[in-house]
Amino acid sequence: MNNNKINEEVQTQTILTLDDDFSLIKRFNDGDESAFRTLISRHKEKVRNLIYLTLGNTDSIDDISQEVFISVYRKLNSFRFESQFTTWLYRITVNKCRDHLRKIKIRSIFSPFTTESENLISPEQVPEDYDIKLIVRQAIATLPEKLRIPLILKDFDGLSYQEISETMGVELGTIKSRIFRAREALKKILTPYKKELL
Amino acid sequence: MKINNKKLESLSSLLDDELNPTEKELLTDELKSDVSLQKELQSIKEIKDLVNGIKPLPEDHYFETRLFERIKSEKLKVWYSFLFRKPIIIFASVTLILMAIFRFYPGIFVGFIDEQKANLMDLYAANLKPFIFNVGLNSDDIFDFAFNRSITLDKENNQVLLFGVDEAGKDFFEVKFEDGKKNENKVNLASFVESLELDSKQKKQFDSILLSYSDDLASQILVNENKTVAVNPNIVNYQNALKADVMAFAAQANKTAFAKIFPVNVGVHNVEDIAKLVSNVKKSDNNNYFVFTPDTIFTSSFDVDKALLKSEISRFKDQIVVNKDMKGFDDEVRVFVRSSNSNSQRSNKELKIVVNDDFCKVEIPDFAIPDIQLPNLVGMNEAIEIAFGQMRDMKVNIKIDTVGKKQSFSMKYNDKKGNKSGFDIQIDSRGLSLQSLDSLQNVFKFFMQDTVMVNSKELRKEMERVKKEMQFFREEMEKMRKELNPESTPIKKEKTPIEI
Repeated sequence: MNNNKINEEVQTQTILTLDDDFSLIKRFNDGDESAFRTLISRHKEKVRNLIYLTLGNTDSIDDISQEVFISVYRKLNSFRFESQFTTWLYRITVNKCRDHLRKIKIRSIFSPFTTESENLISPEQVPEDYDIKLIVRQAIATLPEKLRIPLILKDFDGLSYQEISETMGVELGTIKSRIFRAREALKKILTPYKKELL
Repeated sequence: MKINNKKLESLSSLLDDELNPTEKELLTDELKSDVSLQKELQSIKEIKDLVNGIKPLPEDHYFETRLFERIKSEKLKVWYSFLFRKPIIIFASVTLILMAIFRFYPGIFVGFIDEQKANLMDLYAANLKPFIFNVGLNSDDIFDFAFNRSITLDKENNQVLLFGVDEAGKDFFEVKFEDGKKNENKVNLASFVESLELDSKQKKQFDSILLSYSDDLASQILVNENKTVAVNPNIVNYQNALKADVMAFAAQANKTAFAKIFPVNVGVHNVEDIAKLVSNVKKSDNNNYFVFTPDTIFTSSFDVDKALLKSEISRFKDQIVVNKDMKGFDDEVRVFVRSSNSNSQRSNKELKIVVNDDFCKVEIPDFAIPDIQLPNLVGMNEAIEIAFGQMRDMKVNIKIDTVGKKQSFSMKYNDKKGNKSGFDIQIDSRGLSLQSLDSLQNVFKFFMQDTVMVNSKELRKEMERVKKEMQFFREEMEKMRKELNPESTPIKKEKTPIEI
């Protein structure tokens, strides 16, 4: 009996949360600017962290996250309520990150003196007081973009394979495979640091 | 035992709880018995936990504030980009707006342009006053006005106003800077008086006739400090009246001299006719003026207070008597032109205008000149034209050729139109003698007394020069004859007239 009650509460909470995003969107579309402010405050940190991990540095987080929410602001009236708002939001974020990475790549072709990406510190040089979690972040940053993004969406943001598939516009099986390959690659990278990590 | 990738991928999915129940059950069973699989699952779990344990970024509390500031500016940018990144839309919109304006308010721009034009015209027409207060008018000027069709507007810069008739027979006004040399060729009052052989009394009468028109002329030409010149087209009628008046006086003063100057019947008017004509001209005075400005020419209406003008002219003349060097009248006279009526302004597009570096000329439309009938006007003008042309344009070339077998003597003059006319006298060299040379003097004497060219100054000068040359030639011939035949006596020969 108690278990059923708890399940119902959780379910109601989930539905409420979803409805909450949708109702905020509806309110915004009806002209309530404060609803958009609530949407931002609810999702801004997820977006910022996704950008942070996808890019591997903090340089452009603010600019890109602002661009993401400006796009949301402009396109919110065309939101069709067929998927979760977060899926839609993450898709916009991932696309903005990809655009940014593409720009960096093009810039590096024409200008060899652009900002270098953060290199992974060698195992021998790791100081005792070093932030171990930084090593993991740096290791993720070294992964290819197509492996890195599904891994972050799964293990950091906790999205399901289906949601990741929708976010990235890639088939479910491919996502499953990419997440596995990302973990394998990360395991290889982090093996030398096993002592520091464990 | 080596685990294949498919199995490892399934382990990864199991960890993510993404296997279907059947796969999950099978793999769970397999895991229970396979230690290596358990180790792999553990290593994948460790990686997953590491990623999951990454420290998130510290919360940004001012993110919303910055974002909303940017959204605010982006909203403006949307408008800017709409307006400035889409020039076609802008041009199309502007065109549509203009089309709509022209459709519903067709006169809006025309009215605006007309208003601006009227303002400009008012600016140029401000403070107009009769030109005689600037330059003064004497009988010479009025004679020039009547017969040379010009009035000096600015004596220092030799700026004149010309009245004329072009080849198509259209009257025109022309404001120009005249070359001083051209003035020398004009028939002036002095030469006309001399030709008429007027005595001092008659000359005074003649002057008074000319000056009687000065007051009327005063209101026909207005000027101001903006270099604007306004001319009333009725001045053409005043000119004709004055000409008729002068011709009538001249014909009466010395009939013989008049007949010499005007051999063709001029058709002189009687005094009554002229008085009537002048009266009609004065009555037909209107307020419409042709306005010449440094930028444009247009017509406008000015209200000239003639009563006030008359009294001021009188005052002006009094001042001139006191101060003969007075160059201009005081500013008070500006009150003569009280107002301008912009409704009657005619744009320069409706006038035929010719402009050059040193002149601007406007054709006077027929309707602009009040129609005053003057019988024989055309005949009188033609006679004046021919007579003055002869007096003005006579060029005499005299050539004595002694090289050929026959001695020849020729005298040519150019008429007004540049056609050469003249005499050609052949003299037999054997018969050339001092007497025959002397007989040439008779030719000139005859010529001087009985032809219409008697009054040409140039001809007289030329005759003087020929006389001197003949004297020199005579002396040379005499010297030569003495050298050839010192004993011979001059052959006496009867004087025979020379055919011309």
